[in-house]
Amino acid sequence: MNARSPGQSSEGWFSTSGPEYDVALSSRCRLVRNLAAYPFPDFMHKKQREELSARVEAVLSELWPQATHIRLDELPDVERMVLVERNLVSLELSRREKVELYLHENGRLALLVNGRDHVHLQALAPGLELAQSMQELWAVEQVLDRALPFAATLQFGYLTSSVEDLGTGMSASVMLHLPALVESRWLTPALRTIVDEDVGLKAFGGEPERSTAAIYQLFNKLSIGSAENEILEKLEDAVIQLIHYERNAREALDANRGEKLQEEIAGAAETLRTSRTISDSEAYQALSRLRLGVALGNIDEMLFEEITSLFYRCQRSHITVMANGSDAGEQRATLLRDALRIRR
Amino acid sequence: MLCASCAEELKIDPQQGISRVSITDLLSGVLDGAVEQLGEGECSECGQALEELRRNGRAGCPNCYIQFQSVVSTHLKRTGRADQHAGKYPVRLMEFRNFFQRREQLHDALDQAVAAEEYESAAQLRDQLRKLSEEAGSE
Repeated sequence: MNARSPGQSSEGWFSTSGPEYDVALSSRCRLVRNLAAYPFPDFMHKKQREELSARVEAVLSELWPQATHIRLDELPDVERMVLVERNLVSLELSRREKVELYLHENGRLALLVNGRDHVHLQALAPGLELAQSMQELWAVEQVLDRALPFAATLQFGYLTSSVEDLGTGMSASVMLHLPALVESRWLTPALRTIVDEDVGLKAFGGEPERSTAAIYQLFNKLSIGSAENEILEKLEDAVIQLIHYERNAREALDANRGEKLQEEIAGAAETLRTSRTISDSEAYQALSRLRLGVALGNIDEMLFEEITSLFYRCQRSHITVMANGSDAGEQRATLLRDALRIRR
Repeated sequence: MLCASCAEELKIDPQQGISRVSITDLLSGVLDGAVEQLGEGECSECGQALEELRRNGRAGCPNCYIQFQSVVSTHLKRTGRADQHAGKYPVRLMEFRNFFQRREQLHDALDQAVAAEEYESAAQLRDQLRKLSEEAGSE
């Protein structure tokens, strides 16, 4: 198994483009499973944990021979946070002890052992890409199930430590960039037609209700009661609708406030090109403007994925690793200046 | 109903009645007797408190979902969710369920054939049932 630390690489799965990329930044799929033979992690003895760990390793050493295999709690804090910032590990799991991570060499697939549940499978993809990610996860899951029978009953489906994950054990979400809806104050009305008992919304960066970078996440609320493909379809329909609204809002914004907007976008680009020091939230705001600029055709010297990549790499721990002791604000500003300078 | 000589010929025991278990009963653990009605506040396998499950939806082990099936069911419904899974199952459980479903189908068809006095069909169905049991037994 590869022992190179996953927190060291500067590029990642977020550096490439994907479907609907002008609005959809990334998609994440997750499956949760427990083995029938053991209690859930909070109730396991050390010996059971070790057995489980060894059994999973036996399967994965053949299935993912090139994967990086590490104990999360043995990583330096900052590198662990890099994994969280890349959406490979949730904040909650990063804080637990004795969690193991298997990270596939493609950087998009992860398997966690002994989190809140025995096995936690995750797939990330740029843009809007749910079905394929889920297929990838099921392919891995099937191999695991044959070797390590999973706990399930006819009534409740796959058994999980939390009733929230019961049934399909499936959770899916898509991150969207919605600057035009936010700017024109159409986000709330648009959401009224989309958010319901099946689909929820979370804001990223800033307060819970408002995102500094106009980045929001749509996710499925329910994991029991519907077939997997129905759950994914409902989420995908909601995402597509919201994408549609955002694109309309961008056109309207361009038509009505074209000049003012261009000024703002140019201003943001200038900030990024010339700042000597910049905080993460200032960086997100400017990058959000820049990304809108690319969508409207005002900025043609950058690609969407380059901006997305900068979003990720401007996060705190990413910068700390890069800065290697020097000032974070300055390091971030340097990263951004360099990225925009190349593009002049 | 079956006359004694026809029954003899087809080797179907008219007294037996087909005793079978509905698959839902079997696979949801109700057959284990009134495990739930023990009224204990803890899972017999892992010790998780019933209250923890009821209030916070946290289970300790797979058995919690069998022993406290109705508590989980209530919790799900109370939080606005379905209490019946409608998606995929692990392969073994799927095969298990298919076996029981097929067996039930054959039993029903057999009952109908017997009631309609179609004894040849009944005999064929009985043979299929026996073959199904043999196949299952050989695994």
